[in-house]
Amino acid sequence: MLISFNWLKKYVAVTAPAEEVVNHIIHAGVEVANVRHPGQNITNVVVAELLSVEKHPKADRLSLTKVSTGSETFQVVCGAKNIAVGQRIPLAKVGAVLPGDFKIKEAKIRDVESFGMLCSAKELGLAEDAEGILILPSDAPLGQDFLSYMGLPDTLFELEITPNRADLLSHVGVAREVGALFNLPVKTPVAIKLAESKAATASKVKVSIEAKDLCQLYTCRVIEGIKVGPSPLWLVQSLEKIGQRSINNVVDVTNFVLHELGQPLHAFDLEQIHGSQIIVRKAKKGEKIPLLDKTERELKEEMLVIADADRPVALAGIMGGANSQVTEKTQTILLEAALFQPGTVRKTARQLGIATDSSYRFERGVDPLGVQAALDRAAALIVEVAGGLMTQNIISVETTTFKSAQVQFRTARTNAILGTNLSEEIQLQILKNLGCKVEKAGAAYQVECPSYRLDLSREIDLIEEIARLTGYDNIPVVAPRISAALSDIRSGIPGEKEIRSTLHQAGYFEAVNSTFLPPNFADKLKLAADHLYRRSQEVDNPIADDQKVLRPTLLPSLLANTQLNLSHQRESVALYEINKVFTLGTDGQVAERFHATAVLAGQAPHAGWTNPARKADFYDIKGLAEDLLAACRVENISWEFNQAASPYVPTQSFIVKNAAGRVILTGGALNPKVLKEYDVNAPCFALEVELAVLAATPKKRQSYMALPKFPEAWRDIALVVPEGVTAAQIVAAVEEQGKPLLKQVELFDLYKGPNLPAGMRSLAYRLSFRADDKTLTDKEVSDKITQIVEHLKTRYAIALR
Amino acid sequence: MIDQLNAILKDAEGTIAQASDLKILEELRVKYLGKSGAVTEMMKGLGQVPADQKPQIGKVSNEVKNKITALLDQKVQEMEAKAEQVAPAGWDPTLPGRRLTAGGIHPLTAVQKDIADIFRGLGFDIAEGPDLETDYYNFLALNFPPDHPARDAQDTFYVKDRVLRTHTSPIQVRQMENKKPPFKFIAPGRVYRNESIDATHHHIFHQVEGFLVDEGVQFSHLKGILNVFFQKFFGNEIKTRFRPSFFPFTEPSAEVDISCIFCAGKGCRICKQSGWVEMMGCGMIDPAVLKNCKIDDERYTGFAFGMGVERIALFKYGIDDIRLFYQNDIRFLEQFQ
Repeated sequence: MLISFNWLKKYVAVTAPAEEVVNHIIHAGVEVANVRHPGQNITNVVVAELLSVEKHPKADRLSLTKVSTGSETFQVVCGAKNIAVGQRIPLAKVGAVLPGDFKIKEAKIRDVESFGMLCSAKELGLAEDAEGILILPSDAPLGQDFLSYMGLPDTLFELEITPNRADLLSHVGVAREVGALFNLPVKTPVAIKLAESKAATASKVKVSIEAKDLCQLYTCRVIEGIKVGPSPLWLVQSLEKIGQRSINNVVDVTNFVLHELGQPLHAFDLEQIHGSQIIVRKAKKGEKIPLLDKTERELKEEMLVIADADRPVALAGIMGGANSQVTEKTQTILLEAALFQPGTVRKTARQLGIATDSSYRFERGVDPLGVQAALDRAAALIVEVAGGLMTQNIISVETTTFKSAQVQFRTARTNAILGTNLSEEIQLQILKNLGCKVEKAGAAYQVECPSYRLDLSREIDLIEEIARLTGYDNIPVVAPRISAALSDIRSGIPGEKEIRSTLHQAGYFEAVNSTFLPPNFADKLKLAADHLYRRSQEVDNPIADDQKVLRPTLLPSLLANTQLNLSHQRESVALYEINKVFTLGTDGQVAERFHATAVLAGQAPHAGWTNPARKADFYDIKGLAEDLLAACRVENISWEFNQAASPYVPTQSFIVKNAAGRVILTGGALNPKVLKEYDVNAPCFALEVELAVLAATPKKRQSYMALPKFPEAWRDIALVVPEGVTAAQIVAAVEEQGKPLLKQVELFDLYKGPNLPAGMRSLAYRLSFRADDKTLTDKEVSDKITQIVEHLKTRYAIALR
Repeated sequence: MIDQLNAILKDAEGTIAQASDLKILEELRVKYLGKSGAVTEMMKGLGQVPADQKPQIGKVSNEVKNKITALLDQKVQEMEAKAEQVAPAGWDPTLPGRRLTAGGIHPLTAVQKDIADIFRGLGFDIAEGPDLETDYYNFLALNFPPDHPARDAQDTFYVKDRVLRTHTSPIQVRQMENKKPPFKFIAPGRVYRNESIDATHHHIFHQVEGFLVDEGVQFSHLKGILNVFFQKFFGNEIKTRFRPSFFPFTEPSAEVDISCIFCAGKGCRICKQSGWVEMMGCGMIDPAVLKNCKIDDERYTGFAFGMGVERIALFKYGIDDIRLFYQNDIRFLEQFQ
């Protein structure tokens, strides 16, 4: 919202410079987005008249003009096309300065002398863009200084008003705030003399309110014999400075009063009001209204309209109807000032997608006691600028009588809330400056809040005002005492710390992705029809069609990230994300769970000059799963292979379950068809951890075990293993046979190749033996080895190599 | 005998000077000073020397022994010193060391954790809440009436009868309702606003909410704790500035600005020449919110604050586009290890 400093000064005699005023209002909680100074840095521009306009003898596109300031005549060369004899225009005389320190000098333009310049609005710094010379009204006084004629220079404040401060949405409102900040009185404009005719307004129009809960007050006046036409310059200037377009004298006055007092008004052409009846009612089903914005809207039944005997003529508090608008032919107007319920205005405006200066103010609340004053002010101004005579008496229909808020106020409470030590005098003075009436009531005060401050209705509201006007800078800075009471909150995502540190060590970077997925993600992942991830939920009002689904898995986002990184010629991509996923339960509720998901593509991490690069494979992601489970110290878990469905390749997948049979994690190689969907052109592996299941899985206690007193003995054995026998089977058998001396079995080599019979592979293990009570003899160890080897031979036909 | 001893010394001086490595020196030590070394043998013969010559020969033989010992020691030292200076052929210590290229945390998570750590150190606990909220927790209980313009600032995503939380403040209500103060929580989380994406806006972002409710909590305490927070987060030289503002769930409400870390408050491009950067909103918890949580608002008071993690991360690292956070380009991520 734009506030003109010159306009503001009509109501409060502030002498401080604009910068100081801005600084004060910022510190009082009003955001100032921008400050502009139109008319600054301009001198020696005057109002002049075009006496002649001829073609430049040597340039087709230029004109040679003679202009008069009343006392002097100048020859000026001009390039604009919109000039004609008799027009009044701003003339920058020789010696003038325009914005940007542009000095006007005598010049020869194509051999013709020119003494000055005719100015456009852009050259005067009044508009961003302007075509042609600024043509002034024909009554602009010749020779007058252009700036003083235009009410310039001025300063414009662009204010951002918080929703609680509806009272600041006008010049008088801001003047009240400035008055309170600078301790200055505020003069509110009053209607000058309201000359009325003998005819009673009530004989011209009947007003009734049907929707009593949606309209508290409806007031109006009738003005007869007006002449609709252009507005006088002061009115045009006032509006244009604050970015409002001048329409005609009647509409401009309603607009002016809105920006002056904050009360929205509307003028109807009374002759177009059927049955001379105004009914404030809800719209009827299927009812339509043509609006001033040249659209026709179909209305819903709960929407509030102003209707005549037959049809809606305005959307209450939002926009007038085209069927009753003021035109050049209008002679009698009905001028409306009312109070509409803020919620209904907001709802209707939002449903129809219309936002106007009027709806903006009604939504936030207008001064209930200012309605009639605004109506009279506007009526008097219309008579002043458009002629006519208003009929006798105002019509005022009230459904709810406004009562000022009465607040019990304790000055001690202010200091208790703020941590200040403000005296009673200071506190009460601030309240009085704001327009409050303060009376002693026992140990406390009874405060009557001004009607325009609808945000003041409780003691805390007054305390805030005192804080604001005292200045937050004047509240001390004190360290609080924080109670040591323990909370029952167990914070953080379970397992997060262990998982993060494992992933970071393994070379994975954390990704953070949006919660929303495109609806086709499930097809891209080639999910089976009954896959859990297909039970997803969509947002009712998505930002775009491809961001509709609340993601049930983090995989699609990570695959997109992988694709991006591979496209940068990155050879190894290792990413993870820990975040919420959402699935639709059978109860119709959306459940939120945390997943930790890791993706590995291209080369394995950690390649370097002593550690040659190699392609990532299944055992990288399996090793990561093993590391994660070890870091979380889970107990009694079981591994299943060849079971996971798409997006994994079943034969290269694993599922880890806890003793209760719940899945802790799933992982493996991703289906190449899925990778193709995501344009990932490298082998890619993933694992997904269900953090809630991980948290619910029992953990091994960390406890100390006495260090061994006797040394360990180890033997290496290389086994030739037939096809179909798994490493897990071998280790289980070795561990069973090795009891109780065998302490550790570790694979250290795997060989497949021509030196072995077809289908065979060689696995080499290091077996470590130890007894707790003695040093083992060579024979004891050898006997164990023999036992193990014999067993492997008979059970699995495994031979020593 | 003295001549013999001097001859041994002379011989030793020559051989030691020419010795080319430590092994030869050790052999020379044995040759002269070992059990059957030349000097040792001479000293063994001292018994047969006439008594009047004994002192002198004894003295000379000791001198010879000491001199050879000193020569050997000196030569060993020289060689060791030389060995430290001369690298073997092909040695290149400028080759990179063997490192494990660790991954790392996302800058948004890092900032979130740094914030939480500071408040944890001040005695706050961590609280969480659901992303899908009811209108009650997200708005109504926080003093946003239905059809109130205060809701305009928070364009909302709807999911059936729920909303995607537009701020982390509902966690306040969930933590406080039907419980007894004191409360002292930090609540980090993801929030959602239905607005279009540009360099400074995204429809998902992250907030950290904090609140303290107890007897005697004052606005001055809010200033105190946020002052400490910003100094711990950005450095002791940071200044804070509180400006009145409006949030439905706090009163009095404030915006907190901090002095710009890039220009020390002098004014630069980042702080738009103002010297200050807006960092968070805060205020005293509105009595209406306490009442909604069935807390005696006359006995208990509290403050709450909420900060945007992205805003702080953008500022801290001098990042100019919020979208970089969600692209997960590793060239970006690895800068924050």
